[in-house]
Amino acid sequence: MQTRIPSLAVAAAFALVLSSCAENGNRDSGSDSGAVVFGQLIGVSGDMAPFTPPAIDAAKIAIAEINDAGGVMGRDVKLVTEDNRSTVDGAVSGFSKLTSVSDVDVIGSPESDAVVALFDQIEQRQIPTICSSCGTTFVDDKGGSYMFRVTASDSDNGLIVAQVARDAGVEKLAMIVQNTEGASAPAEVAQAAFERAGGEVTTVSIEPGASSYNSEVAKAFSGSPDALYLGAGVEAGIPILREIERRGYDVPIYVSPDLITDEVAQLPNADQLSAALTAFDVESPAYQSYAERYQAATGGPPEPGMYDANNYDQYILFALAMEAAQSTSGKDVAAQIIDVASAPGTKVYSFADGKAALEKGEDIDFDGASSNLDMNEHGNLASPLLSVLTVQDGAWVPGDQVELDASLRG
Amino acid sequence: MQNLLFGLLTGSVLAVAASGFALLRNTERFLHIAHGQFMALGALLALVLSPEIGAVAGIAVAVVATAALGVVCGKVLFDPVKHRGGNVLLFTSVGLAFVTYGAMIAIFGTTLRVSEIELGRARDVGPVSVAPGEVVILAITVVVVAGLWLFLGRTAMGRDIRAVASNRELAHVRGVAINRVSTTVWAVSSGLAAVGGIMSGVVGSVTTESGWGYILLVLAAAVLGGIGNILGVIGAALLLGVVMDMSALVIDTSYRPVVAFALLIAVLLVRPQGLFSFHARKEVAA
Amino acid sequence: MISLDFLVTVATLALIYAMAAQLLNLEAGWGGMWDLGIAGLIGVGAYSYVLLTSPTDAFVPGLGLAFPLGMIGAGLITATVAVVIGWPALRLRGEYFLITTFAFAEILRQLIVINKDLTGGTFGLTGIARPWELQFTFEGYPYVRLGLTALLTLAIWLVCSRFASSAYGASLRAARDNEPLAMAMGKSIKTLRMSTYATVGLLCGLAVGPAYSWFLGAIVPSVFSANLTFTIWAGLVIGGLGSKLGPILGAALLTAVSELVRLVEVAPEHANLVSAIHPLLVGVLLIAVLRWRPDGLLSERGTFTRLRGRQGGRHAAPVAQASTAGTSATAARLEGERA
Repeated sequence: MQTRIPSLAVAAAFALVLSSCAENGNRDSGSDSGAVVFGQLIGVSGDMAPFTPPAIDAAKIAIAEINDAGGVMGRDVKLVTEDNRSTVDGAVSGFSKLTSVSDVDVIGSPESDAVVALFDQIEQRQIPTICSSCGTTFVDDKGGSYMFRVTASDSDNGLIVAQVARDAGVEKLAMIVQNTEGASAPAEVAQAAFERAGGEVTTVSIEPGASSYNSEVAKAFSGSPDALYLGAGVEAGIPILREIERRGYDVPIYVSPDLITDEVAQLPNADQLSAALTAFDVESPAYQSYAERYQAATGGPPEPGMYDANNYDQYILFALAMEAAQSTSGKDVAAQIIDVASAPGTKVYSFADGKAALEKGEDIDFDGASSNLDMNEHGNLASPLLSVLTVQDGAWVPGDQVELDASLRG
Repeated sequence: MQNLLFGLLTGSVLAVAASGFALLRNTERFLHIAHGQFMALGALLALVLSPEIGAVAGIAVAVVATAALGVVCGKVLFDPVKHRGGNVLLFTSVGLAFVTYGAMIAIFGTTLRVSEIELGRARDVGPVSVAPGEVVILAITVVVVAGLWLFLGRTAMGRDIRAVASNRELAHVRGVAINRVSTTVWAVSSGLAAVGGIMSGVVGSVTTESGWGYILLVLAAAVLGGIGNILGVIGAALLLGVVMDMSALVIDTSYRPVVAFALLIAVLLVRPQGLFSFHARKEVAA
Repeated sequence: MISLDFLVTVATLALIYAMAAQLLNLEAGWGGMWDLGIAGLIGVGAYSYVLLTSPTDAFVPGLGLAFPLGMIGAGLITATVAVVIGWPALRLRGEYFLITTFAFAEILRQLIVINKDLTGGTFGLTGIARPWELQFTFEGYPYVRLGLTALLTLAIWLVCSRFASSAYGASLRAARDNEPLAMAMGKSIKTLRMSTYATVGLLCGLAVGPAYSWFLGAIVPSVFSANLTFTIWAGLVIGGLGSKLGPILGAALLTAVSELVRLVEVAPEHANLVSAIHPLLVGVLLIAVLRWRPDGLLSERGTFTRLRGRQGGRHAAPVAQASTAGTSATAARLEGERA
């Protein structure tokens, strides 16, 4: 009796394993034929979960675009998605599964914590990895060989806040900052830069997941600041913005990119908000074609705060890099990513265009839906061109472009 | 002062939820960890239904559905293992918490949801600034607390519940319909969880992750309040809320959760049976 | 096909949870101390270990000690923290001890976040060096790490086994089951429990923390949250609270099931369904085991004789059953005295 149930459980686990063997069984071990496998390591559950559904939708759009244009080197692309549970151990085990069981050629979408934990393995296994929303400063100077990103670093995000506030004549800046890596890093950079520029900063930190933030908001405004910086995700950000509106605080509010979403734009006090983001051109063919498909698939426009466009771009980049390298080997593909994404080269705005140009023997420069994707030698977005967005008529609209003032780096 | 009002707001939402938790603990005698998940479930149900059938109907359906779920769980999951003691019940509740959490992810997906209900613009009323919706929240809490007090104190069922809470075996011997009491308690407790969750959702936001955070504070309030006294738990919840919000005046707000738990530990050291408990339980302290 | 690499990863994680579950079993199963704060102790252990062994010029500077010294140091630090927590907390019983340890774990985690100069705050500690990593290829190293983790698990198992069959362990279980009697027999319950709790702290710092850090490669405060505590508890309860092999079996089973679920491949838009399976399975397993095999899959066996939870009191541990006739002299004496 006592041994029956444990062995039942073991048998069940075994059966699970065997059944998935059957599923994966017929794949060739080499990459010479059969599908090309893209891996997506993303937080389907856990703290990042609210941001993931739009990103997955975007990834599907990218894969469909690639396969409709004939695939990579004539082969279909398959996307395998693993949940990293928004935790480090989830990332480690998800990565292990992707690399050893699914035999992925490339990996997209990991978040900051995952990137930091897996960096050494990525380099050792030579798996080209692009991340769409990891701002961690860890990658600022370590990336470029196998690790790349299509989103601005937290340090740039922080500096631009200081710059915009300074240029608007703000002298006293209050900050409400969420106690998580993605929010506190840019805020610290912003504070240091702003103080160096002669301003005064008071910071109030919040813990995401609390039911209300009334006292923190009151504390932030107790010193009568000229402006407020809100560095938080939507979970805490929206309640905070509503509280600000409730109490009638009428100062300009700078928000972190995570808050560039539809729901935030619908808030009654949205006209006080502005945010800075890597410049994306709503006139660009890449953005328009992507936005159209995204709208068709999800019923709503892309939301920069959900990083969906970035998620789309990274998979197109992988496909183009593989086409350029005419190989799926990690080393070859990684060597092409920066070239394919950056000037000089023929400007292309879709996978099909890029593939055609490469076939003609041209160098290409893919401009994506989230930005022009030009990268520096560390695989980080080179363009210090940022766009200041504001809310008009219930939607976020990109406005003036701003070049990052290097003197703020200090 | 303003922060006092904030604290009362935070505390009232907590109080509504914690009272349901305490009710269940007193009669069924275990810590229902899944209570936090029920709060999230009630909130999510209301948010998902509201666009279809209107806010009020959405809330009503959510509360009733959660109450019904509670009753079913009570009968199917908890009654059969009742005789095994509080710890088995506790971990069954942990299991239920995991199941509810997984079910919410599967059914609702993980996108963030924000309530449409606005609390309105704040006006200055004397020394404080308060929004109409906030007054409503406080009013609802008062109504719930008063209703609970009347229910437990004045009705026949309430009397039965108190009898079971104080001595289950004796109540059984005296002819109290234990099963009916059990069903009622499960329904009321789960309904209160839903109401608490919905209130929390209106004031803030709700995700599938919210349940794990809710249960931390509910546990703290329940233990702080002590066993045997639901009003005590309500008082403890209000106290926790007030202390957390008032602490923002003097110390860095990143210490806010630390403050709540430090208070809890400090109180338990001085008065191990909880603040408002009048049973000096022998099992509490060595 | 199933890759050996993936299995090695899963196995390493399973062993880490197995170690934690055994320690929890020591204090909760045999000691009757229902600790909801074990994630906090593991966190202190991991952070101490990494800070002691990080190079002095790292982003968050450490002391650069060799790994065995780091492990011992982490063990001592965590044991001290356990004593600090235990001194007030062990005065309380049942649900009060539960919530106090829970509160302390949350406080510890917050302190780690707040003191970012020391701990890296939410950025965490990265680039964790593993023992002998450079002597092996990166493909081969996971096997070495698995071996090292297995050795540590074995060591903990031996320690716990000794506990179980010693007079110390018998006294602990006696205190759990019938405190007035144990006190009457002249045993200092307070010291007994405190030293058990401190030992758990010591081993968390010596073994569990370091092993977990080697597995993760980077640690952040959110790793050591209530979720970790609940997972370890789930593994312990499923495997069998109070048995010697139960914690290992339960933790291994739970981890295996949770991670092997990844092998079921679905379209990306249904990824949330697969992610929902993990908590659903954990919950269903817990409920089912408690309903039909409340002692867990394996119950207390081996050198324990039949001990019944006599009082209907709040902290009566699940009934222990023996399957072999072997008894230690001490247990027999206890049984004899009681009869």
